[in-house]
Amino acid sequence: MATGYLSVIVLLPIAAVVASAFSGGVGASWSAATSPVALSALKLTLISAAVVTAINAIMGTLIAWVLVRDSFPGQRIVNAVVDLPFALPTIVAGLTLVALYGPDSPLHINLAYTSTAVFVALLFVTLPFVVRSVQPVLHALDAEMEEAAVSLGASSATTFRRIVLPNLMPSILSGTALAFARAVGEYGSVVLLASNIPFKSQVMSVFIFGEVENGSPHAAAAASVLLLAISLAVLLGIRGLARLGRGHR
Amino acid sequence: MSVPRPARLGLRAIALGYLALLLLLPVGLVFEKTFAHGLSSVWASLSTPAAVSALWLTLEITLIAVFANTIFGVVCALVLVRGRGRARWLLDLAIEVPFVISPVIVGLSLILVYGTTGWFGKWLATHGIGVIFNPLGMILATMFVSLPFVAREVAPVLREVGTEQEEAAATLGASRLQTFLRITLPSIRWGLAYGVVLTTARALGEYGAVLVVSGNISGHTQTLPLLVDTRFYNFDSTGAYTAGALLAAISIFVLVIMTMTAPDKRRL
Amino acid sequence: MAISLHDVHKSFGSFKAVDGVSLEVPEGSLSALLGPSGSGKSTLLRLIAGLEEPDAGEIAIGGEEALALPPQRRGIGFVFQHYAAFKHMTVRDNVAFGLTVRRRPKAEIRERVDELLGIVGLSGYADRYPSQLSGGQRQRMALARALAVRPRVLLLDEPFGALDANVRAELRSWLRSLHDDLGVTTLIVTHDQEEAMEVADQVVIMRAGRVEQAGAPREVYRHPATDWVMGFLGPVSRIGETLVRPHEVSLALEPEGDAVEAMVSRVVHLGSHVRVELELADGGQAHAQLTPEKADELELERRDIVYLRHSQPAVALSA
Repeated sequence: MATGYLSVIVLLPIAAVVASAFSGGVGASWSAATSPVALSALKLTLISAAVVTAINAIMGTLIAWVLVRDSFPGQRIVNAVVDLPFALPTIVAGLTLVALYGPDSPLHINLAYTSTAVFVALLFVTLPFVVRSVQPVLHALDAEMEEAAVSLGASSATTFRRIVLPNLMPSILSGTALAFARAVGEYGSVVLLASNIPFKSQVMSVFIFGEVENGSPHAAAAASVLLLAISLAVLLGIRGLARLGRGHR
Repeated sequence: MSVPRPARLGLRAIALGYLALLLLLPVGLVFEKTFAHGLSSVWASLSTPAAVSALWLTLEITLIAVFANTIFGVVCALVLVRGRGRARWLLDLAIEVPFVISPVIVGLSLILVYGTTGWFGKWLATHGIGVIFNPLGMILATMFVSLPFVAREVAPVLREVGTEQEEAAATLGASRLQTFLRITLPSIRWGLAYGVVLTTARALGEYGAVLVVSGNISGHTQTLPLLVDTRFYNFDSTGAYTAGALLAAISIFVLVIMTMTAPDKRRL
Repeated sequence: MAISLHDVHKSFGSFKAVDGVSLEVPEGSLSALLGPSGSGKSTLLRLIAGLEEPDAGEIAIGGEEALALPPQRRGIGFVFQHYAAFKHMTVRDNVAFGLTVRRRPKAEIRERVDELLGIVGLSGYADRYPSQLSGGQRQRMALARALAVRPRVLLLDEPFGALDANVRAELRSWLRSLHDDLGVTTLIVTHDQEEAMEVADQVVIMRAGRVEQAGAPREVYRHPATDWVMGFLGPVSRIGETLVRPHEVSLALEPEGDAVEAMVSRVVHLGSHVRVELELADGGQAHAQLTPEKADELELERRDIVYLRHSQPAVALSA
């Protein structure tokens, strides 16, 4: 029964996309999905996702550290704030970014219609992923390992690098994988600020949306399949890395 | 591990600064712009027929999606953790799909299945059932994107609780239904609550998929997020910010509940 | 109600957990399934309970074929090693559970729960939650819960395994006296041979899915069916061709008769007795158990030479 529901809601539609992508033959789909405009959008999407994910992997670990190992008033609120990108609708996130970095920016930074806008938007939405995947692992980490390291003469930085970090790596990687997947497909928060300028600030999701609006569902499907394939490859790659890391435990 | 004080303060400052700049500042600004023109203008903006209808539609769709996905989620978790089929890993993989897929692609996929030129297009047309450009499509889109949360939160709890309590109930004479209602459900209640809250947040805020599928027809297929979109592109910035602020306020409320029901390891 | 098993088999994948077990548990008796980990004893218990299904064989409870019945209808009470307490219910609701799902009248339930809490010594704890009880108290609650529905047969799966040593000892003798009062046919699984010997009317020794021997404690100890059983039930030393118990070994400073020469490698004072570890001429090792008085008399030290005799003909087999 569960599989029936799942099939109707998720699997059937996905099958339709794949079918449509290849309906005009592989050749036609491929050229639609790799037109200069599409490729430019793909490039921007992948680069921005990669950069942003890397930044938030580091910042996420740092924030997780501060939330688990540090103690200060208002910490619970800060912990809750981290979930804001999860709770906030993407369009509202987009709106907030326009407010801060758009034409009326109080900081006098106008990122409208630029590719930088994409980076900022993705930074916003991918923030919680690594924080949340690292937190429970850090919480459960056996303090005795670190105590042993310190008793043997290691500094805090060394202990972090050689003891804590390797143990956190699988969770950092899985959080990163999820963040990347989210970044690559993100629409609502990006489209308001970066808008839809081909070759400049257009990401794949916006490109696909454009194709749908223009009545080219097959081109849209082809681009979708390409995007999905790349996301899947990256995801499996990262998950594979994480599993390798876990192997020697 | 004791980190020297200056390093600790430095890390704290960086973390808090990053969070404030990236998250709090933008959100705060929306509220500021909303109330810049006074409360009465806020009320006026929120009580237009379009706004009211958008709010109701959002709530209706959310309710249906959450209900359906909660039932699915619990059943799915039970199958994944207690089931014995060999294809369970497929189920596990399949529920990850909504996490990985762009909302725009979700919308596209529904058009390809239920649109006039889609797989069921002709059948739906002859039976007078409208999916695309209708609330039904929006419900399906919302159900798609908010599918995994309950299953993913309940499964680990179910795994941790183990089968002993259920076995004990069976030896004491409880039927399978009695065991499920009296023993299993209570044991997963926190995971379930958190999963439901996450599902609600996702369903409330869905934008991309619903935008593609609905055509954003005011008064008919316009949810609150879509209302923000329309007002923004019509240069009604105050109206957009107001509707956005309402959504943000609802989200923050949901966020508070999220924090209260979150599993212990994430709670402080 | 007696329990009767005939040629029962159960495998998990390629692992044969129960390999042709036939067994009779007499009505009203307390029998122990004793064996090392992996011997199949817990699996056997779960098969009787209906929590697992056998691949082959017959199981009867009170003369009735049990295999067609689910655990709900076999009339068994089951106590788990880790209590399986219903964490979200009070002690009272836990104990009442079996009666509640049978929709017994509230007054009857209340009375029965009070009675049982009195029997297990938890009368003041009715409104507490399991998390507020100690391990021993939780297990007593679990027992009360299992007994509430008047089972025909009581099954306990290493019930004291998760408890401290002194709590374990206390509950062990308490269980025996409870059994004597109530008379319910009871089957207890344990890996602790001391526990089995102390508590049971019948000890069933299992190894690798089979029954090695079944009998009264005294019987299996004095007349073990195999070397392995003898070694499992207590410490043994091999002297020449025979297996001997430490307390059957006597030591002297002068050779006598067929005494065997040995060198003392260690003397351990354990309070109530003294264990002397010995190295034999053939390179083997043996233990002797002496009373403190005898040990004082001999004044043994490391590297002393002594002469061993076994005071009683031991089981002479080299099976």
